[in-house]
Order: sequence, then structure tokens, then C-alpha cells
Amino acid sequence: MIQVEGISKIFKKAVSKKQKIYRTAPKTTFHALDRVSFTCQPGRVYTLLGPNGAGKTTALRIIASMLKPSEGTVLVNGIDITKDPRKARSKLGFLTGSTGLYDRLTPRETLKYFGELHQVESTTIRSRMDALIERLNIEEFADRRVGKLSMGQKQRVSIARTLMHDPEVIIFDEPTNDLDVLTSRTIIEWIRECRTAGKTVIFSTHIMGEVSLLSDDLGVIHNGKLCYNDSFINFKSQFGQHSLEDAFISILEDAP
Amino acid sequence: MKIIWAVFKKEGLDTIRDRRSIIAMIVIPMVIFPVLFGGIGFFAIKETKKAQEKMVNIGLVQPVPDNSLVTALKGKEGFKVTELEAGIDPFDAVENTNIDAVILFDVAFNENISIKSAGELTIHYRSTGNGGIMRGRINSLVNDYRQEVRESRVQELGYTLDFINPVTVEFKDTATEQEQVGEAIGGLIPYIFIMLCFTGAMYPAIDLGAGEKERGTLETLLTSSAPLVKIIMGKLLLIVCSGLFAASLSVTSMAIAMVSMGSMLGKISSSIGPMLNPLNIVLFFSLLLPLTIFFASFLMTLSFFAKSFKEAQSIVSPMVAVIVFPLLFGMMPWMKLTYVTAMVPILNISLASKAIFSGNVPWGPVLVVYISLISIASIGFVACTKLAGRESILFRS
Repeated sequence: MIQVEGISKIFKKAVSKKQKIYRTAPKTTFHALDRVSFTCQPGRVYTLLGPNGAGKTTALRIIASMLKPSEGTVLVNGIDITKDPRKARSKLGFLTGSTGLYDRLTPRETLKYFGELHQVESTTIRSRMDALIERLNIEEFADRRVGKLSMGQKQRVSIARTLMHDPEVIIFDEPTNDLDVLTSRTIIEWIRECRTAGKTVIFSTHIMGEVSLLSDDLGVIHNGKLCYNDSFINFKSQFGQHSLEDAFISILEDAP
Repeated sequence: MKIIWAVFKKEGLDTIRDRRSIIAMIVIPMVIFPVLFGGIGFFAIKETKKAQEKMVNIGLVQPVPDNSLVTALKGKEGFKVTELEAGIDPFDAVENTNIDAVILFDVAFNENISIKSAGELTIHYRSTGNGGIMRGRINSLVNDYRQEVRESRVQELGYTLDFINPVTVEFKDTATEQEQVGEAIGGLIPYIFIMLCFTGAMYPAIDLGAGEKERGTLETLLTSSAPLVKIIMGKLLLIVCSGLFAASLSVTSMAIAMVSMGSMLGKISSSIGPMLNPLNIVLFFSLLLPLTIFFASFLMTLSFFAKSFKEAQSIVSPMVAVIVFPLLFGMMPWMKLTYVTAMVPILNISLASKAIFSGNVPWGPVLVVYISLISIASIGFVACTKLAGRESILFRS
């Protein structure tokens, strides 16, 4: 379960020296997120939909406790990320479209390393690694360097890496960005599997097709503000007559 | 501790598999000394010898007077004398034929000598290339002749040469050969070790920070429940080890070069050899350790600050100049280790190692060097763990 409670994030904008001297600098701060609240339930997929630069990644990074919120907080399975980020992180898995793997390590070495970073018992590391390698069909390339693998193979290693510490909450930040249809499909199936396994899943995207494939709940984010937050069924009945894309655009246009 | 070790192991594996790091860490330190010494020994010594033994073509413009200088020129080994017709253009002869130098005797040369006046010689030559050495060779023959004429004139007057050389001096050097060589190149050796230590640490540092950002692995690393400080410590440990590893390899390579090329280097190797005794090396590395920790922290911070591998390289490369400057300063023979210079980081290690290698260790200032280096190492380390953990640095874009 993820409870996002009124988080804001303010970034300082870089101001040039010239602007400082002549005091022509515009606002020096930038609201990447403005009091965003929503809840993701276990066994459901929460989709965060928004155009580029809307604040999706910032929101997910705050949930993953990589960034500190300027205000508000997030509870991950009841753990406050601002108070105990390490404990919160031990419940979290984080996956992005850029696989985030080390090219010069083999999949097996990668999995072992992340298990160790999460302080998983060494016997558990071994058994879990073997189980993941089997389930994700990594076996045939488990001892080849990651840099030599295909994108689809890398993405499978990346999924295994995310699951090495058996997280209860999984965050997917635009996981299908730049991936071909086949590889995207592997990920979508995995998100479904995580849902069936009762995990809390949040994923961000700007691709409409994926929304209807996966969503149980939907949040639309625009200019740092959450301008829609309801179940996907309600969304469909509310905007039933429109295509998904039209509905999305009309939400963005109505946004303040 | 487990996490630091896990990070260290993984980064070590990653670094060993990286070609760029291997070149900076292993290849360069291994080849630099053999190449350097080989370069000095082989080319410098050989080239000079060659120039000294090379056949010199001398053109004597007719009419050639009959005197002992001409006889000496004709008889001297390594000289080939050709007589040239009168009225030849000496410039053209030197520039466009195989004649290296043209000697023109004044018509009244022998006459002037016999009336106790000065005979005039004009010598055309080309100063560039090995011209300087050739000029020296011709000049020494002229000097012999000068001395000979001088002696006969003094004798005619009933004196010996002492008449015009009233004072003779002999300087006796109390510095041993080791001390002389130690001073000349003693500063160079720590300079090379420290530079190699820095460059050996540089590539892993860039790869472990900026490289991590560039490949998008930093995010996954940050979402692990391992505390960032421990991850940074593991990384620093590896960078320190790479730096020290590069430095120790260069010591080894120097020893090997010394043994295998010892005979060719002669004086240099017999003087450096005793400088590199185990105690001196242990002392030097104990000074190098805190400096390397400082280098590592400094490089790590810059590397995390950079957005990409390329940016990190362009930030770090000018730093080499920052380090070279105090090191070069330390190589100056007049720079000595005092309580004041002992406080200046980098300069102090250069001076301290110069003192250590020459065998006279001023323990007071050396203690100050330790304090100075350990403090900058601690400051660097704390600053690195504080700065590298900042959002504005980790997610700088």
C-alpha cells in the first residue's frame, strides 16, 4: 500500500549571473509537484498518466525516497519515507525503462550484488536468484556480460534485479519507454503477475494503450498537479463516449 | 561493513573488466619507467655518442697554410679534410654540399703567428642539429693549437706557462654521487609516483560516479536499502586501492627497469638503487595513503557532480594541472621541507619524499606532513559523503 499525502516538490532554478545582477531573473523556484495525494492499494495497479515533464518521475522518485518532498509525506506499507527511508526502501522495488544494469557484470553477478545491497541473507540470495533465473528464462545467458545481451534479455534481468529483495511495493517509471512491442509486452505481463501476487504496483506512462491494458486506478498529472484520481472503471463510464485520448486531453484542458 | 565489502567487490570486478581503467592503472605505470629510462639511456646517450664520433667533413679553402693546426685537422680521427678552391662561397658549401664546416685561414695567418700577432680564422658551420657538438670538436683542436703557440712564445721569453696562469684551483666535492643524483632526479621520482597514483584513481572514480549516472544505474543503486554513505565508502575504497595499486606497480616497474638496464644507465641506477630501500618505500606509501584518500574523495565528488562520463573527464582533466604545479615546484632543488612547506598539501609530500629518498629525514616537519595530509584526507572524505549524497548533485541535470 502506498499513501501519498499532499507531497510538493520545489526545485531551484538555475539563474544566470547576468540575471542576478540586473535583477531580471524570473521566479527562481519551480513547482515540480503541487500538493499531490493519492493511494495505491495492494493487488491493484495504479497508473500515473501525464504528458512529458508533468512531474511523474519526480512523484515516483519521492515515493522511492530518492528525493525528499518539500512538503507532505508518503507512507509505504505504513512506513513514513521521510522518517525511515531505509526501511521504506527495503519494501520497494524500482524499475525504469533504461534498464539500469552494469554492462560489465553478468546477470548472476548483478542479482547477487543487489541482493547484498539489500542485505538479503546469502542463502536466500542463492535460492531466490536461482528461482528468478528460472522463472524469467535467464538461464541461457545468466553468465554472459549484460552489455552483450539484447534489450529484451536485459529487461528480464532488470525485472529479476528489482525482485531480488522480494519487495511488496513495485514502482515502474515509464518501464516501456524506448522498448519494442515484444519487450514491452514482457513487462506488461510482469506488472500483471505482480498484481496477481498481491503486490502494490504503481506505474507511470504517457502511452494511452498501456493505460487500458493495466489500470485498476488512474491518476492524471499535469503541471505538477493531480487533476484526475479515481478508479479506471469510473473513468471509463464518465468519459465513455470519447476515445481514451480525447478523455485525457479534455482532462488536461480543464485543468487549472 | 558487509555492504562496503559488497560494493568494493562489485566495483573491483567492474573496473578490472574496463579497458580504460586498466590502461591507466596497469599499462601506463608498467611501461613508463622502462620507456623513460630506455629513452634517456638509449637515445640520449647514443645520440650524443654518435654525434661525437660522427665523421665531420671539413673544407679548407686554398691557399692552406702549413702549420700544426692543419696537420692536426688532417690527422685527427673522425675528421675528413677536403681542400676547396679559392674563392668558393663557404655558405653554399655548408648548405648545399656534404661539407659540414668550412675553415678559412687568413692569408697572413702564418705570418701573424710568427710575428707574435694573432692569426685569424673564419669557420662557417650550421649550429642547428648536432652543429654545437661539431663546433666543440673543432674548437678543441683550435685550442690545442692555441696552447701550443702560447707555450712556445712563453718559452722563448724564458718562462713556463705558469707565467700566464698564476693561480690553479681544484674544487673537491664532498657530496657523494648518490646525493648529487638524488638531488637532480630525487624530485622526479615522487612526482611520477604521485601523478600515476592520481591518474590510476581517476578513471575508476569517473566510472564509479558519472558512469553510474550515465548508464542510469544510479537510480537503482539509490533505491536499495543500503545506506548511501556505505555505498560511497565502498566506492572510495576501490578508488584508493586503484591509485595505490598504480603507484606500487610503477615502483615495481622502476625496479625492474633498473635491474635490466642498470649497466646502460650507470650512475643513475647505482644512485637510485639504494634510495629505494624497503624502509623508504614504506615511509613514502604511508604518506601517499592519506593523499590518495583525499584524491579519491575529491574525484568521487566531482564525478558524482558531473552529468556524464565526458563531462566528468572535462572537469577532472584540468585538475591534473592543479596537482602538477605543486609537484613541479617541489622538484626545484632549492625547495626544502620546512615546518611551513610541510603544511602545503601535495607540495609537502613531494618535498618529504625528496628528503626520504636522499636519506636525511627531518622528522619534525615530516610529522607535520602527516598531520596535514591526514587532515585533508578526513576533510575530503567527510565532504564527499556529505556532498555526494545531495539531491542537487545526484540528480543534477
